[in-house]
Amino acid sequence: MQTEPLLKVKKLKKYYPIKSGVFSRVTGHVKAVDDIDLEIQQGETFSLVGESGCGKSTAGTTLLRLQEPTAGESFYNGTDIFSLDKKKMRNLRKDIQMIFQDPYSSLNPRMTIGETIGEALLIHKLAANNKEKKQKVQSTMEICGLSPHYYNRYPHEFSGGQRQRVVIARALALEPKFIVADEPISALDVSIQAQIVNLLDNLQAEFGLTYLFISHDLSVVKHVSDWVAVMYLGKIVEKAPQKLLYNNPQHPYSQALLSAVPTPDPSYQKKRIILTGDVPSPSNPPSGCHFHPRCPYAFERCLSEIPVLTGVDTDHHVACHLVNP
Amino acid sequence: MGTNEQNNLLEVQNLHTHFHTDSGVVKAVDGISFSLQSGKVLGIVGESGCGKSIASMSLMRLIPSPPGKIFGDNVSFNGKNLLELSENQMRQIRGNEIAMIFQEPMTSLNPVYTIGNQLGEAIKLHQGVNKQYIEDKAIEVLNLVGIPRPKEILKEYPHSLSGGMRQRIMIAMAVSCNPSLLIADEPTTALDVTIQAQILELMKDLIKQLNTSIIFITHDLGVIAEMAEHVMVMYAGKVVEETDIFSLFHSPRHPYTIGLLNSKPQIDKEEDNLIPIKGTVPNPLNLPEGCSFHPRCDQVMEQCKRQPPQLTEISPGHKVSCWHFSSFTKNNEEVEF
Repeated sequence: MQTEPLLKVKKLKKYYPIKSGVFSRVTGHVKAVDDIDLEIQQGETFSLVGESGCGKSTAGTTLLRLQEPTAGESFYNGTDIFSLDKKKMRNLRKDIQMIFQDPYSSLNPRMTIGETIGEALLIHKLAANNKEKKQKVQSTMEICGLSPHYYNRYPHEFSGGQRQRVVIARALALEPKFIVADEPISALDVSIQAQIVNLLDNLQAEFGLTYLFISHDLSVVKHVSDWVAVMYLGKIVEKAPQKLLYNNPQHPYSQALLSAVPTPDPSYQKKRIILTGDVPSPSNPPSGCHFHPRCPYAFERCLSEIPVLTGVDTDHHVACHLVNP
Repeated sequence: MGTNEQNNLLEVQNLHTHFHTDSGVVKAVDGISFSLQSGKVLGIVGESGCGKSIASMSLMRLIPSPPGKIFGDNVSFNGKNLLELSENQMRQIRGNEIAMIFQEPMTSLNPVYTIGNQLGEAIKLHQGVNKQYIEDKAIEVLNLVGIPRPKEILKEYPHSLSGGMRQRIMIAMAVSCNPSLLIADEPTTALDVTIQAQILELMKDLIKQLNTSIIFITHDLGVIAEMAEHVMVMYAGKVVEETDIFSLFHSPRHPYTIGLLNSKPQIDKEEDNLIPIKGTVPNPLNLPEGCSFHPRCDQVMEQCKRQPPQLTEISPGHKVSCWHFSSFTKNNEEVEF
């Protein structure tokens, strides 16, 4: 393996209490993220994929401590993020930024583009005065493909793709090293998606950024990632380098997920695995392996015993009793 | 593909839907023509705002007027001109002869009525009032769309069902009166991939079993490749390319179609760089002069900026609206992209 990873997450858990009754007693938990481990190397893109409700976004926000975790550790460059006090945490936020999914709701309609991108510069005292702020903001805007004379415009004057560029510029203004991109392109039109993907690619090449890319779009994930982890009901079921995972998926869920993606080629006949049933509710997941009610290969052991993520190969980890007997 | 006039279930000629707003006229659908044979699947692809949904809602005359205004030369469905029917006659057709599946299974069902109530409404309205018949028919269509325990589901409310199940209910509702035309407007967009695969599989089965014609609207080229036989690509209210599914993917001609295909990463292929279409979708209130696509086109010519091109047949069944092909007969060489 390489050097110490930039981000290392160990046994991360995020449970949301379910309260019911007159006294709002806690009667159970939604295990949104249940015991996941991640290691992200400097300069690489690590992707979390899965269907809605699998916990991928919760994992992203929790490991940055935008929400307090239930348990677990998250080391950024050797520092334990979860043990920092407020002041140190705020300092660290310069290094780790986030790009959100919806460019329509994540920009304040009453702030100009310049204010939005420059706000954090003033908070972190990276710009001494307004003139310096403007200069820095405008150079960031140019890097992100926005014309600097949009500085005093408001978000409503922009299209979805341009707004997403503003959101990216806001994250980039502080010169971060690590960016969590939570579904950064899923709200955009197809012809615009490629522009944003290319922008993220170029920024990574230019500034040596490290990404945690969260998405449900398997073809985009394939394009951008070095590493991929597939999540199902709060757990990682398979984790491998991108090529390995896409060429040789081992977990039955990863196999079904990959085969379910429609191919834009009418003459391509692929063997598709159709899963039966729906994603179960995370408040009441099935016993044993959470995937067993939909799994075509489920056997007795899957009903009772939770499979552990185990290496089947160097770098390739799968949580399945079939693969790891 | 030679079109046989007698077999055409639907024939649309020069359909327009305009919205009169305070800031100007939005030409959401700007003169589209197409035909659909019975038992065939026509796909309409395009990005948001290209007019694909408005076009299908105009066929059903579901556009509120004002601000909307639908006009055109002819929309002939089963020999009737839909544009000339009275509201009462139109109601006989909606849900009965033409049915629609909407995108959002979460919001298209009424939360305060049971599934049975909502499913029965269409059957009752169009097929009779015998209670037993309605229930039997409802159970029959629920079985058809693969809903387990149909008898109990009839008594349940939409909130107790998942997204995939609700979309199955929507499909059941749509096919309950054996429509001869089914319009599916982004039926799988709100669903997860594994559920999308289930619903697409179900729809393919239904096409075989019911012999219904389908207009399938989506922005997802992968879904279109799987479902449609013939495809129309729309941009800014106009059809820019129309052809069979194989030539669309293997020899696309319009720069916009080519751009769309290039900008999407494919799961089964390796590619280093995506080639995006530059610029953004134009504001419908203020469309560019000439060809609406010209500011984003990488092969723009002087003529494109002045005059809008016409949809021209460049080979049998393959129509393109682009100045590069309007002169096709003059210089019969293939344009290299």
